[in-house]
Amino acid sequence: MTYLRLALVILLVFFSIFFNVHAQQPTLNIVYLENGLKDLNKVDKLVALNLLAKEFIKGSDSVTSLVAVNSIVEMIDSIKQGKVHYGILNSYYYLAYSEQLKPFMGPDLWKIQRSFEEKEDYVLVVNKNIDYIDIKSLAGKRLSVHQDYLMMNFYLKYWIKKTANQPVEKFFKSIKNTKTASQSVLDVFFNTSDVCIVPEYILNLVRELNPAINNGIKVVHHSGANFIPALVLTFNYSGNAYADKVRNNLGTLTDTVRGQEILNLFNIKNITPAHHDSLTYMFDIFNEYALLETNHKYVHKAQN
Amino acid sequence: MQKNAFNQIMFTQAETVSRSIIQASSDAIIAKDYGFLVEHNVEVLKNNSSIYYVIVSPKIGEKIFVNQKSWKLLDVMEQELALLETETINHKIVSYNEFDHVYHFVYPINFSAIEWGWLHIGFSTAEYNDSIQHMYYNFSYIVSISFLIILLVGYFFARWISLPLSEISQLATQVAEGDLTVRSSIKRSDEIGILSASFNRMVDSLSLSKQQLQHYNQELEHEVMVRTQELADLNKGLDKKIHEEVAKSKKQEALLIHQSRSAAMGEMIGAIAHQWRQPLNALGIVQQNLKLRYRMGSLDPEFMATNMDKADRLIQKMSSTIDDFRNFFKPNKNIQPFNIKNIISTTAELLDAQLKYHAINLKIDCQDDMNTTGLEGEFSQVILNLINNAKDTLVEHQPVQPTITIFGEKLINGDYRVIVKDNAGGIPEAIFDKIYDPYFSTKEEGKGTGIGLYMSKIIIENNMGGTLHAFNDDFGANFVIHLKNSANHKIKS
Repeated sequence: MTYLRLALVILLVFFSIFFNVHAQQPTLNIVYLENGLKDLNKVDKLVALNLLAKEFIKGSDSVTSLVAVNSIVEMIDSIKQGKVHYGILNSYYYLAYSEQLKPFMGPDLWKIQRSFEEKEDYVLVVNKNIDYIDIKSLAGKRLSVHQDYLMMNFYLKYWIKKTANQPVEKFFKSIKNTKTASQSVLDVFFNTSDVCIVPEYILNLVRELNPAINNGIKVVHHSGANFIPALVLTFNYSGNAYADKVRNNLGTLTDTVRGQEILNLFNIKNITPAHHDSLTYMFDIFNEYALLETNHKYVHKAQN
Repeated sequence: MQKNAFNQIMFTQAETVSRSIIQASSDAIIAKDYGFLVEHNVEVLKNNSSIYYVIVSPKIGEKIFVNQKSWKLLDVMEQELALLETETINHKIVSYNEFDHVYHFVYPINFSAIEWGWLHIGFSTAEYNDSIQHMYYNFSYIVSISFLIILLVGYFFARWISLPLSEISQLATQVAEGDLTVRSSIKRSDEIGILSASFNRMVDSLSLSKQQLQHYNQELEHEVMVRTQELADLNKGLDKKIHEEVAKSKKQEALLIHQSRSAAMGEMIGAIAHQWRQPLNALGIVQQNLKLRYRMGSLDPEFMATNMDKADRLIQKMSSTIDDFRNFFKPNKNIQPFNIKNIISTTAELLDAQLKYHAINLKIDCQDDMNTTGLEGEFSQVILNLINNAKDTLVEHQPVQPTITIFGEKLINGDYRVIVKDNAGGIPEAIFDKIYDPYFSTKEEGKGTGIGLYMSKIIIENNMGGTLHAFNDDFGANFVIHLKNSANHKIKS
């Protein structure tokens, strides 16, 4: 009996030390907003996210806790509770909720590149049979668009609003949400749709696959390379003892094959440090759109 | 068989992929959303490096060809591939585009029994070929390894099992050849070890058995020697005993003979009494006649001479009877030739008076030239015995016209046969086998010794080399004496 008690005591001490040690390990909390970043299916995404999270804290003794959330509200709540150190989200959400996020943000900001260009240029592609004069000549046409590209969709919404003073839903005859961005280009080629908007690199990819596609489509508009599709934000900076480590790791992510492979899982070409100024254009058109919306309401109200 | 299995696997895989693509693309196919079809198939190819290309071939319209690097529209399908577009699944190994040895699989696309078109998928056979080659390599590898293992195992097996077995076998051969000093030195804890230990125990046991056997052998030899000595001694004694017994037997025989003779003598004395009665009566009458004539004073020389002649003849007859009997009982010491008929006649004469007394008719029918060699006294004793027996049985049974007949004839082979027969009804079957037994008699006690026939058989068969047997006929008993011709037999003394 004495031996049994001794064994129990030893076990208790061991486990308490183990859990205590484990508990004392610092944890970096990363929140991932799924909306706007749906390039992977759910299962692969979790695996890929965990791999990415580990890359964040590679070389340190901390552990990561990565949570995927479905709504920005959820993310903001977590940030407010001080539980989030890093947030990955679509740029559009940052634009829309920047006022709520900025109080918690740290100095570090990274932009996610889906192409080799630092910023994306959105192009409007129409079927060759379309008689394009200007944006208004696309009224009543069939649109194909990959709606998960929130910034791209916003830009279209903004531009239509700005040029045609109409919401996108009413401007086009139909809007087809394509599974991929490249499919929207193919829809236009096959005349399933009349028009699509895609990042230029996507169009280039499609052209690469079949150069003959050029005979069926034409690019009628460029947005300009002004858009960053997604961002990695830091929060609760003071509580982050590993900020330098993470910064370094993110900065050298593409230097290793493993890092590149992990990024490929997300169809990401690179994650590079960004300055808040690089978001200026996006913020400008976002604010401009808001203004347009507000003015439209007033006009509409006045007319009624 | 493996190849067929691989073919089946490829077919199954192709069918599964086709169904998967069609299922995922069904809406797009129906809606003719070619953009989705291209995009989807690009994705499929991206995730399946073993698929070279996919061709979506609607019945009407352009075909969409998608491969790993690009896609394009085809106005027409190649003839070879177009032939595969049937109602059923088809597959073929083709060279298409820049691909060689492609497993080209064609799956018809039907929706609600409407034939929409076909899905062509080109699968790489590299994996299949690799699998086949891998299979062959594995097979060769396994065969080689197995062969090596078999060789190694065989080698070690030989060393481990066969060698000790061979050693034990050799030892067993040596043991079989008689060398029981050999022992197995194999000490193992397995069956071989058990065999070795058993072998050693067996040899020990054999050795012990051999020693015991040798010991027994020696004992036996000693015993045999002792017994042989005993037998030799016994033999010597036996010889002596035999001689004694033979002497005893001879003595017995002699006694029997003597008894027989005595019996015969007794008989003879009776016969003599019978024989002399009549002459003595006659002499008495002669004497009385002489006495009467003298008293009467009429005794003349002529009467005297006549009666004296008569008396002389009577006395002579009585004397010759004595001689006859004396001669009969005079033992013959030498084997001499004699005439059988003479002996029969002489012997019969001795019993003549008795026979006449009992009104027994004696007939002698014997050939004259029956000459043999032997002891005539003993032969006459036999004849006497047989006649006497016949007489006695005739006297007992009282047949009508009692007759004793004696036949004597010379046979074709030169042998002689003498038959003494009577008409007394025959020897009873119940005693037939016993008549030659010594001391067996059917007569009242005191009337017969029972050795007559026994002695007769001894004399005829042992001493004269003949046979004596009896049989019954319708009238009576027949005693048959068979004598070999004196030139063809040896007489026992």
